[in-house]
Amino acid sequence: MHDSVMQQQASNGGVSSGLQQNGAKADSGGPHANGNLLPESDNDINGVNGDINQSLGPPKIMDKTNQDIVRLIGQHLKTVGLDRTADLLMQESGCRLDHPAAAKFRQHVMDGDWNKADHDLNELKSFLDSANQSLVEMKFLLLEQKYLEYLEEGMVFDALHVLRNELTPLGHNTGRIHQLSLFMMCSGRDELQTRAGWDGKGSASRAALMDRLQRFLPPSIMLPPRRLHSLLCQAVDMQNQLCTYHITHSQTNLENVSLLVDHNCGEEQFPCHTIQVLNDHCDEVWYCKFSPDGLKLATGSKDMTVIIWDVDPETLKVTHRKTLEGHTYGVALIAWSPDSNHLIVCGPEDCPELWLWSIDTPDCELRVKLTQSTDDSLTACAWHRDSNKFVTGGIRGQFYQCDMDGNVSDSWEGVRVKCLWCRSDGRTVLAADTHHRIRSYTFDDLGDATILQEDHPIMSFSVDKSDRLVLLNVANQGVHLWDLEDKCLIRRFQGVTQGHFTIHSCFGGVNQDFIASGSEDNKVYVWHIKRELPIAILTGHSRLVSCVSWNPVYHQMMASVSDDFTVRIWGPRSFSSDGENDKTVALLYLLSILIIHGAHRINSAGTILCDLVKSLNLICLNPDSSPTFIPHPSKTPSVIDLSFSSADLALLSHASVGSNFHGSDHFPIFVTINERIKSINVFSHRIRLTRFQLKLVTPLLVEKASAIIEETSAASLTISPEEGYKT
Amino acid sequence: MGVIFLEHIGGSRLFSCASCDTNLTNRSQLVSTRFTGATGRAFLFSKVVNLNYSEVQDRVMLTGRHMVRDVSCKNCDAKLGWVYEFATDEQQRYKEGRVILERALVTESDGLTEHNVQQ
Repeated sequence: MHDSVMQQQASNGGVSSGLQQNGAKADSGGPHANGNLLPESDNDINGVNGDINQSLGPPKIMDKTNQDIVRLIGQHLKTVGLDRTADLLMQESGCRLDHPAAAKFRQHVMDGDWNKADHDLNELKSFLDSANQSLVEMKFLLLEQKYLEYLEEGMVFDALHVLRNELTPLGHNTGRIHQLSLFMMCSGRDELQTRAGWDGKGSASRAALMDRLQRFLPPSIMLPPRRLHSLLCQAVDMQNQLCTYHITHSQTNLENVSLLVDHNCGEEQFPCHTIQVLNDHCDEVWYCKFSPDGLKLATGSKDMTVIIWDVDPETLKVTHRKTLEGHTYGVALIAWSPDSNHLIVCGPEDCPELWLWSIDTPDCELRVKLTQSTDDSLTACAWHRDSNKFVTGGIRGQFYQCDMDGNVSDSWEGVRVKCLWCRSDGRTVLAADTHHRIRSYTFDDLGDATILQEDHPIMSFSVDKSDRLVLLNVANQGVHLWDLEDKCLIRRFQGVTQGHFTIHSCFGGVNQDFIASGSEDNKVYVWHIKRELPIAILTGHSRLVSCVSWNPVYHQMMASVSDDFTVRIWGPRSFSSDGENDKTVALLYLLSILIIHGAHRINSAGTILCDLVKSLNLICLNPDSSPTFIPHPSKTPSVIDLSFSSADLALLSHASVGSNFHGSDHFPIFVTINERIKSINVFSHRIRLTRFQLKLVTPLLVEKASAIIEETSAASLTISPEEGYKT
Repeated sequence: MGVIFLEHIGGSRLFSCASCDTNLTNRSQLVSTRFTGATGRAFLFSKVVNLNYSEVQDRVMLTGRHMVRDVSCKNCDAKLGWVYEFATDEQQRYKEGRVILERALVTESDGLTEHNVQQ
């Protein structure tokens, strides 16, 4: 393609301007213009284009920038095959893509006309920056191609002639000449091409050669190849770097991004919206971790269980798969094997045992329970990359390397281990100790070295995918990012509160550009790796957030666990259903208020209420976890303000009693869904209904409410009110 | 409550909470053994870890008026002693920031030989 393009180019350089002149003046203008186009003013490189414009006179006077832009557009038009348009553009603008001499040179190179190309070089000599040196190098490159082409054709004598009489006399890069001479021994075309790393005779290798030659020529003489494309790539790169919430595409490039607007990942796509709140644990949840394949989540709680959840990559929701029971000390740490098939569970400081579960079977069997001594404390654990051995330890001085059957194969004495990590070399283990350090240990040659030292105790740490950056939760200090190779502190992330309890942080996003950490102020903090201040602070938990895990494969998904007994799954806004839920609950809430105020005034309306609750599949929301009074249908009702939601929504809803009377005679109940507080000030618009009115209004409400419930939870209404209440 | 973060001061001779065995300090931090607390003999240490601190209280002791905070175990909340915040008597200023642990409320045990530690 280049051949034809450049041929036209070469001729157009002269003709086009001539035509322009012809249009403007008489036919005698043609030769005049052509004359001007020849490189007479060789010594003024940058002035070449300017001269042309001046010679063309009034039609188009453009400054340097506009000329450059027109040339870029012209070059791009040629690359996409719009040759005629490009020629027309050059005519009208009076610009030209390449200097005629350069165009001629390119043409000869592409044609493989080495003698002419060599002759052209002398013509171009005056444009070169450091003429003699550049000329030799360019000649060398040309001859190299010539030599290789002869060799490939089997014209060994011609090749030898080039090597001896043309390349060698240049006295340049003798090492390469020796290398070239060795290629003579190649048995065939294929061997030559692989050994020389060369594409073979033809336009591909010549174009590559031209790209190399082009670097010696100033851009005013010859444009760098695909110049507009590379400029646009730079722009996209820059936009990526400036994009705060850039989380999914590993490589944004011209192919998958629109050039018409600046690239900017919206906050909508970022995992800062609650998708699910899981209430399955019945005590504080201390740890969570996604499996390396991103398809499972493990959460560990003080309630002595680990729950394995299946991740649905489509909806970014999790479903309960299996509860692993028997962890009597509570679950303070979970480590997935790199192949996602096994799981190690550790407890808090007084826990001397470690449990290894197989997760690859549907039933998740306990593979081994490791107890070395009842005085041990095994609180830290990490898998080697090969998934068949692991290290464990604790602050009472245990530091073991174990095999899959729980046998201790090696142990290290005199180290109080706080947190562990196995590096990608398969042998080095990093351990945070009680002296505020992270040190490296190798069990095979008993090597150890200090990597970094903090001024305050290290509570936990995690290492990124590249095995280079380490993220530390430092007691009372915040989250610190260190470089393991350069052993330097890179950044201190601000905002988080920690020190009394162990908090875990993690890396996230496809380029590991994001950092998330729990905090003692009930929030989840998310930072961009390049900025100290958080880019998102996620609210929702009502107590300490101990641990956050970012899904390593489905980057738009994050999990956090808290002392409020819940696990929260965070995702993009489009995956969360809070908008809908808000609407539904607001309406249900209004409904319940109506009913209750009706009930309050009318005897035995409680029966109606209970029937209604049942028929709508509603659940009464507990204000602040206190027991809810639901009147028994057969007894005299005595109902105070209650809030209801559908059984499905109840898991997402939280009711609390307000502290302000809002003008009524009792405290209002606030219903929150995903922590969005809807303070419906019902008491200023209190509705009083007679029994007759209630009878009229009830069917209406039932109809509306069921329609909405159907709409929002069309998938399943599987939880009965009783069951829902129990959870 | 979360998982309480506990430090370990290390050293070869350790002092721990008598009720839950959480490490508190070691022999090298010991300043004086000639103190008396509510339960009898008490030790003064320059550095103690894993403590919860109460509000400041004004207390008149044998050696004069002091502002102190009671200290308890971070893990089990058992009372252990107090820390000197401010001593009004210039002679007693050396106690500021130091911690009294009552002998009856702590236990003493052997630690590990740790390598690569600058004490």
